[in-house]
Amino acid sequence: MADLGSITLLLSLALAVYAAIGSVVGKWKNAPELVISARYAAYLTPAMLAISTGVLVSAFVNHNFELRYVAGHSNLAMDPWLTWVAFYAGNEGSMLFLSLIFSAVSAIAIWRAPQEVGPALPYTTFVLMSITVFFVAVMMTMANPFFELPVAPADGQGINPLLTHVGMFFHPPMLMAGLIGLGIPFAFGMGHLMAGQTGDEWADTARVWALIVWATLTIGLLLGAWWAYTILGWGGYWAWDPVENAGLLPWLPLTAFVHSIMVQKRRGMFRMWNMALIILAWGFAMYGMFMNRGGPVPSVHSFGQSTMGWVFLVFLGANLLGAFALFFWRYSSLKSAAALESSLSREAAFLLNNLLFLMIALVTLWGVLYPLITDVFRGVTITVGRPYFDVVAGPLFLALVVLMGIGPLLPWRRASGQSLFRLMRLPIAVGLSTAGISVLFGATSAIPALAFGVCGMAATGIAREWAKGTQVRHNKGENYPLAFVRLVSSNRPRYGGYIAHIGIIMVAFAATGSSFYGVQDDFSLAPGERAVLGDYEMEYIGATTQIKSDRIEQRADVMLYKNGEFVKQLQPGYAFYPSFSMAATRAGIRQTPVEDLYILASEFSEDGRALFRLHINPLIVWLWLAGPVMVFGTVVSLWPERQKAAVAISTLRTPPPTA
Amino acid sequence: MPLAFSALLAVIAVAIIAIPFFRTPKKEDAFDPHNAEALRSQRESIYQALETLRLERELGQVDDQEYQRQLREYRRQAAIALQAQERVEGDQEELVALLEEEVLAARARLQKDDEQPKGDS
Amino acid sequence: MFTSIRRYSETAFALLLCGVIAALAACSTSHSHLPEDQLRAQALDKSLICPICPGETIDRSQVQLANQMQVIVREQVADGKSDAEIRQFFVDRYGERVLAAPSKEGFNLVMWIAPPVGITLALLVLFLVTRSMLRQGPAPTLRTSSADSSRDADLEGYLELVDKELGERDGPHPPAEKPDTEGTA
Repeated sequence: MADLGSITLLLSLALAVYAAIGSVVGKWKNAPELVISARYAAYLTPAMLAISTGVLVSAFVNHNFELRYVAGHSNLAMDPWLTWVAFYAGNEGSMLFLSLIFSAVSAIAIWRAPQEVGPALPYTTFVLMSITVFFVAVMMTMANPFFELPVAPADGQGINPLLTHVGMFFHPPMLMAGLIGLGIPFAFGMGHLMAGQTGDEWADTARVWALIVWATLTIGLLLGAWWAYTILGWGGYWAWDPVENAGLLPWLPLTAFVHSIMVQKRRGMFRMWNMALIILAWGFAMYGMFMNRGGPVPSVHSFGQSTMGWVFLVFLGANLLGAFALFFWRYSSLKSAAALESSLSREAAFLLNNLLFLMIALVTLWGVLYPLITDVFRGVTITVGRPYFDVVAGPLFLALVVLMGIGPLLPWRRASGQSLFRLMRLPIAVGLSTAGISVLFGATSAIPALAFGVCGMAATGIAREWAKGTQVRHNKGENYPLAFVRLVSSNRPRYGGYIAHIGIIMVAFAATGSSFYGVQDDFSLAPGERAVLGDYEMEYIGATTQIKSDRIEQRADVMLYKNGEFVKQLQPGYAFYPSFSMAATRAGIRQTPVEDLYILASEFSEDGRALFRLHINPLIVWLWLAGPVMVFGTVVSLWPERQKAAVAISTLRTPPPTA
Repeated sequence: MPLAFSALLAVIAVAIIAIPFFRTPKKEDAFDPHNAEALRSQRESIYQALETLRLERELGQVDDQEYQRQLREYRRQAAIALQAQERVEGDQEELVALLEEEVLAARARLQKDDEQPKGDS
Repeated sequence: MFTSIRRYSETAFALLLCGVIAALAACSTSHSHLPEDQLRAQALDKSLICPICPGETIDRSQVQLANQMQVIVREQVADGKSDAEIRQFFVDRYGERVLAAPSKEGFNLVMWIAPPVGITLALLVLFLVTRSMLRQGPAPTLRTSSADSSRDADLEGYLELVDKELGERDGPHPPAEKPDTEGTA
């Protein structure tokens, strides 16, 4: 059976190579049959990879330990449902997963490409299939999931215990899909340049795919934060760890891109910006993949002992070289079709938006590269961690939220200065009140007060758009609910975007609360003793130890009280996996919209004593709620609207056209 | 078994990618319908921009003077695009008519050849 | 017009403010009254990296060495040492890698200065470029009026068709407005 897997890999490689070369040669030699044939090969590639994946999954389900990969990442004791989906957990399987996802989405992108990119489509196909060839080829030569052992072991090693948590389960595939998905809009951009198209043909389809990838990547990042919070057990969710940064870096130019591409769609401006942004996003994505596969930093994110990293670095270099060469070759076709009319306009706001995102990306990159620079020039190892990133990136993010508050109030092309001032009065007033009230309630330092104020201001700006827009429609005769729905429905990109912005405000809100008002303390307790933190009391009842088939679970039974009243019973602790020498924390969390009470238990001793760390983490829940909100906003933004302009002019003229 | 199945897969794949070489190519690019389609979608974009403009005015973001200025400009652009599209459609109709004429003429010539006795070569 | 603005804006204002206040008020209760020394020690813990762990601060790390370092931090805070002195103590023993972020001296000053300088420069460039773009004057499409008024006559019929299409788009709503007749100042 494994042979079938290897052969279908080979077939998919052959098909992808044919698709890539055939597209380009067919275009050059003006042989449309070859181009179409290559396109069919592009559709067949994911079909072959799907069969390969099916073979691998069935090997897992049937516990076929002859395959080295299956033996290394599963065992007989594994939950049946887990065997169906565990295949992506290791280096080899994740390469197969990436290849399958990318080739499948590429096929859809090619199939659904709009007419206007037709002339560029063979080149786009070439780029998409070249990327596919890279992944399949590297997988076949350096990370073959179908490698067979001479003797099949009786049992496998089991899956990394950290992956059995549901958040961790979805985080890698979402993040991987998000990173590699960036190749799609990138390919459309490259196709546009290669074909020498001079307009904005690639903008529409690039926007759609960029938004889909944005939602995927955002969810991937949030899932990672959730997992870090609940499993890694340090009480936080984002540490500016080098691998976390590698996931954030592509997100930044991508977010700028999904905004800036609207200016190109509407006015033919920012063509160079958008091309540069998408190249940057793809470059950072590949850098992210490099970091995950044997990058210089060992971390929980590395796929074991992988030495493949350098291959990705080379690929990254080749992509960037090619992309920038194309960029400069077609430089003149990227000149804007229209000019900025006013510094008080939505276009100008998007320009500033681009710059801010770029700046955040660059300072983050600076923080990531600086230790390497120091190592080279001074031979000293240093760390650049939270203190740097919080201080430098924080204000920039805050500036973005401010911009998010002003943006909705700006019309396209030119704002009437007076009306802008009038419109800003309310948001600024609410912002100042929010900041003021927060100071009253104890937010005595400037930055969190300012941050809360900015959140209030931004939220008001958005709320006003909704309220006023609904009101106007209501005044024309629709009832409020209908007016609201129709308002969103007739302006989907705009209001979908505002929904996503609400999600971002939620994230900013959560980040401000948890960064500045978190409290923690450590307690060593014997059974029966209590710990006090803030308004909370925790009573330690006793420890329990459960020995399961593949792990030892140590839990502490605790009762939580707030202001004297019983609130919840929790079992913080950890699960120790002897075969991996790894412990997975199970934090006890009591969550409310206001704050989380977060309990970690460790160092259980013979006499029943245990060490507890209690955290009060304000506003964390808003971070998790923001995810679905942002996805919903993206869906609304992408929902297609029926095009109503007449297809043939003759249908418009009721009397027949004069001969 | 797996080898036989793989061979089958390979054969199917080759067959599928060979199909375009045996089909009569559709002369879809002959009239370049892209032109009319491009103009139509350009007009659609202008209409959407107009709807956004109306929303912006209702929200109080543009004053009347700016509104009238942009409204005039968008209407003109849409009218120009309409005019161009009609022209392209007119040209296409002419092109279709011309091609039909040529096909008829070619058929007529073929019929004449058939009716003539099979003479030289 | 002012009354209609009042109606929705006041509701929006009130709702938002209430929501925000509630959350903020709740935040303040988390202002636990931990002793100042302990807060300082915790902050220091978060700024020191355990030398034998992969990038974890001694606050997070479970390793024996990290716990010992935490104890030392508390001792020194109790002794009255300043944050800088405590950090220097560890740097002397383990090197610069024990700091979670580089110090602001010497070569490392470059690291801290570069971002603000870079951002300021970028904003300056943006400002200058935007100004020169705006100085070039409005785009050609905006110079409508006189030069194209002759073409307007040809377009008259098409303008009517445009209005017709716009009217059909609106459905139940009143049709799009025609612009005021030419001659607005």
